[in-house]
Amino acid sequence: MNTKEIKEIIDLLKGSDVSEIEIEHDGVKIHIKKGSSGAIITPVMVPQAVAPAAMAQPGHSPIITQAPAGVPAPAAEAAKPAGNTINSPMVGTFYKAPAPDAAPFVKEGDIVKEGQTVCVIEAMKLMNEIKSEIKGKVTKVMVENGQAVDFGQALFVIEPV
Amino acid sequence: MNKRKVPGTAEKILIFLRAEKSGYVSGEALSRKLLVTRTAVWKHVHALVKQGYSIGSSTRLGYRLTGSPDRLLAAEIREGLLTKYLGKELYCYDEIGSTNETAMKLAGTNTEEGAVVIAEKQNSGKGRLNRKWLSPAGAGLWFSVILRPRIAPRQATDLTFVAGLALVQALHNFTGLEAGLKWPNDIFLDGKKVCGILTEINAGPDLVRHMALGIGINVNMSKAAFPAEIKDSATSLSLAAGREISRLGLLKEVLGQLEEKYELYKRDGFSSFIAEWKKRSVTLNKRVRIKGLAEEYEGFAVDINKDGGLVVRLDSGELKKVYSGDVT
Repeated sequence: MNTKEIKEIIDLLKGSDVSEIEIEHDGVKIHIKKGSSGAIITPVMVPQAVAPAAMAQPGHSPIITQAPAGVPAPAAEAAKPAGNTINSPMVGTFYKAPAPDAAPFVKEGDIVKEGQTVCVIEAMKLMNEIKSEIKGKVTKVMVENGQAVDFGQALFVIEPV
Repeated sequence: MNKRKVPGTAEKILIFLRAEKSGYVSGEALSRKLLVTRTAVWKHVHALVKQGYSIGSSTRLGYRLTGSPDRLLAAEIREGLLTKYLGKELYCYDEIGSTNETAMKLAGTNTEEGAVVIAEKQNSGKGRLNRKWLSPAGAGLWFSVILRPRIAPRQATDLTFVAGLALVQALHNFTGLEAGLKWPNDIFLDGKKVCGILTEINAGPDLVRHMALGIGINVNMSKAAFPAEIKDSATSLSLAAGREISRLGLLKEVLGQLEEKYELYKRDGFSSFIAEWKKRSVTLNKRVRIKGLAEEYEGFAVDINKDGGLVVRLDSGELKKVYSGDVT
């Protein structure tokens, strides 16, 4: 199974009610699970050749999980608050406003619409405007302006309204 | 403003005139080929002359092209462009706020991958953190390329390095200048910045929808064109090369290199680009100062990791991974 096929499965999952799928094929087991925010796990390269002996050990199976191999599990994960969070889709720097002297995109207590920009994450001079996936109230801003954030780290807590 | 997806009548007239460099093309022949009246042909020719083309006309023989302007017009960019899709869809402006802003808006519509937004002049050219990017008329290349890669947001940063390396290669091929890369993708000549790349993406949690690679190249700017606050840190290709550089020619080379490297990235992945970047780096193995919004520190730039993050050894010995900030 190659990455293209895995991507196809992920795309299939995206448009469906199925939240989790496990496939075993030619000695490679793949487990794909939608994130709580509806996010889908990032596709990760599965090693092309896996020794059958290693396959017998569950810990060594190339399983795609929320924290893919090579990406350290974010420290913030353990302290993840209950409820809906907006998580960072990449490692980078968190900006609460479009410019250092501009008003923040959102602050605690604000109601955000679906698709509204809540912050910018920058990495390598690439700017990613993060949008809320749901309509809701910003109950907590989890990070400071200019702070480094990890992949998957919670940025905001949003309470659906 | 001239904004065109496919060659219009005026551009088709140019194509016919170019094919007939030796002689004249009659108004009648043009009207037949283009299925418009001879008056319409005359009007289009008149408009081309206003854009800067030199077109001779003779009542008996017709029209003849004798000169083209070094202007960023769709017809000029497409002429001799050897790409498959990059720059085939063109949005050319005399003046614009920011090409990236317009590109991000256009990318939300049904524009094709590889569409290019370009302007002679940007009135609010952008850098990081809404800093200004100087973009005077006629002296540089200020453009944005719309891409739709099927990758996760955290992989999108790979393309900022791919673009930087494509630019370095294009400069080498077209001008012979050997530029260096300051982390992550500033292009440097003689210790001064000559091009910058600012990338914006629109992405869901898992997948990039579209991105705009915003590229600014100081091509034919004189020393006096740079204001006091950047005159010691910025330069242009003409200053470095000691001669004028054709903007149109360079643009086509850049678009060609971008398409080639982007295809290579999609086929073979990112690792070869990391190796190439290290060869071209002017940041590694030097003492660097990193200035972010929240913190500022110094250290020794030892490496870039597989994601392109800069690895800095602090004086305490601690290794710190840098993903953003001003590096000096």
